[in-house]
Amino acid sequence: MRMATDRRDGFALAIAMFAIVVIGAIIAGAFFASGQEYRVGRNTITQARAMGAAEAGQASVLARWNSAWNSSLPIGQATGWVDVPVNDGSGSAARANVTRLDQVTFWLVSEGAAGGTSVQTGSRRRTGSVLRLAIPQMNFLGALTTRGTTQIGGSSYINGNDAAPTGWTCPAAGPAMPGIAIDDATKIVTSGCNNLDCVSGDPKVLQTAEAADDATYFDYETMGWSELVAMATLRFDGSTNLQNLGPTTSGGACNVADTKNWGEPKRNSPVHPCESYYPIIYVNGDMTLNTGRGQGILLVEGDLLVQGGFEFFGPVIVKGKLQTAGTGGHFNGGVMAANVDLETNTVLGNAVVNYSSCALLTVLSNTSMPKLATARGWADLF
Amino acid sequence: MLTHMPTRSDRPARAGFSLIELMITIVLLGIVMGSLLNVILRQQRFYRGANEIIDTRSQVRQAAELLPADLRGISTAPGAVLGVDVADLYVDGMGLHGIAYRSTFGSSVSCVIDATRRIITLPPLTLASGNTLTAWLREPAPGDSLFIFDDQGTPGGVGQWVPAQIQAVAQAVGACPSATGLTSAADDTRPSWVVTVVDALPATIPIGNRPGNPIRFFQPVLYELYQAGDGQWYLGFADCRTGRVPACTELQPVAGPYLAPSADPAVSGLTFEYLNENSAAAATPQDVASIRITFRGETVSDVKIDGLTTTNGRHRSEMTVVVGIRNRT
Repeated sequence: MRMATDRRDGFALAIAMFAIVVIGAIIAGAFFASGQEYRVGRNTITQARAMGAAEAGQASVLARWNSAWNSSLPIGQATGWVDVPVNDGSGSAARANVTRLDQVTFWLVSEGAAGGTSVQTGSRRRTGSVLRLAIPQMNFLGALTTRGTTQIGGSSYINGNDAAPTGWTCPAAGPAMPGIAIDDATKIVTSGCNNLDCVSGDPKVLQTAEAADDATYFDYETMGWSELVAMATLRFDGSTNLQNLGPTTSGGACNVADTKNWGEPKRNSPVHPCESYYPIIYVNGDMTLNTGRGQGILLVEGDLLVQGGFEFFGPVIVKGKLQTAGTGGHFNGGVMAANVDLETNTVLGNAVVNYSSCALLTVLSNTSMPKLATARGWADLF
Repeated sequence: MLTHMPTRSDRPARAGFSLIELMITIVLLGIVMGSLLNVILRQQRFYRGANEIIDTRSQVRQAAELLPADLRGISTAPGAVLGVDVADLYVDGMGLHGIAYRSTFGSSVSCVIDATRRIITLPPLTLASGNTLTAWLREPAPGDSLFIFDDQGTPGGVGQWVPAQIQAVAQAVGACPSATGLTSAADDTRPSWVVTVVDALPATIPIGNRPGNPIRFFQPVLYELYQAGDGQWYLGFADCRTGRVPACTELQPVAGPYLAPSADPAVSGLTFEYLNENSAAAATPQDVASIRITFRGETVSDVKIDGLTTTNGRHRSEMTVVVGIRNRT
């Protein structure tokens, strides 16, 4: 039997304890260092995710641009923060705020968040973008820009003096434009329009080589004819004859499914839901319009025949020839007839072509989509 | 029952350790202690090595986080306005071991522009709405410069960024009034920033309340791998400001140390590669679509960790980041 008196003083236990403590301290230090490294790495990933979410937010707002902002968001006002889907699988989130800076410029701020709401693990990044509506820069040289033989007369009136449509909110009128801009003034044939009395503007007729240039009709600086056609919201294939066009509603909202609804150019009180509807209308063929009204951009691949006093507000570009007859058509904005087949344009009857920079800019800005401003539109908001 | 308790004198005499026992004990103890010491030393080596690797990687990562944030927003768009190249990347700034460019440190929009077109009022830094119209890393100062967007009187046109040099900067409460629409009544007591530029802005920039022109603040900067007084190579930073004497600061370390620069990109401490949209070498600033940056550092002393790759006993860490240029067109 082991006696209590057999106890012997030793130091193995002390050494073992010491070694365990030393090794433990070293391991703890290594764990601390690797823990720090892990946390730094995790924070780096979180910051990158937050940045990615902020940029995804920007891209999402651009891709899902609310064109109603083009007309309804007052200058200086912001939409307020709106959550934007990110869907990167990491739980990141983004929200965006769009401020209108002027008629065509917007300031988009996107805030991305990742890593939750904890101060230690969460991260937020903000980026900003200056967005400009990519407005087609249509080169209207006058109220009517055309080339080739053009017959004017009857009770028609072609007016290059800039004027805003009644009730439209517009900047001050610009300088008077030519009534007719044409490549060769000798090709204007009058019929009852002695001394060009049916033409107003400064000058009444401008003879310019630009009117002979295809670029004037089909190149719009920020885009071309085909890009504009691709943006069409209403498309008609083949020869089309439409009558009695006008705004229609469905359930109190503007009925954009109605192909004969080309918006409401008249400004009413209370406001008609279709006053902010500006379709881009493309006709892949000839078009005949008879009575009614509309607003937007009218692009005709073939010839355009207008009669019955049809009223249109906005730019009209016809690849073929322009013909008005009877009570004619009333155009407010500008008309370009490329007359590619070099037939005879005829502006007869009671046709009216009024130049209106207001109608042009309003329609073009409301039908445009934004793009990043040139050179330094993107900014890190730190 | 009484029991006799033995006293010390009653204990039987015990024999001591024999020499052999003692030697065996010492040898065994030596083996145990040696093993223990070996373990401790290996642990120490591992700990020190791991710490050095972590430090090195941290230094590499630090610069890899710093530079992309600064480079992301530079413009490489072609063209010039008022004699100033629009591109922020300088032609002679595209170095192998350094980069010089125009660094944007803030952005804002004009709230009010006075009739002389020299005094621009900016919205406050913080707005009651939570919106961000003014944001910067530091306050602009006299001698800094700005770009202000000018649509040249053509709404919807491409427009251009007009450069201007800052003459003075001040704060004024309520200088960006809520009447502009950019702020609310709750912001009327917040300080706005009033920036005076040396030369009048172009006449195509509107005056009065709420012009809404986007603004970028910038200064020329240089990042370069340089050798400091301790003989180590660091990522150095210098900035320039007109009117300051000297105009440009001396390089100051912002991260490092790294390996020394080398003509061989595979072993250089810091390498910039300027790539076009096809990921080939870009010849001019306007061709640059992205910048590939590689940082390399190594531990300050030898590292011995099983399975760890070393070069001359030291472990090297490298990181490559590719920064896509956001403002190219």
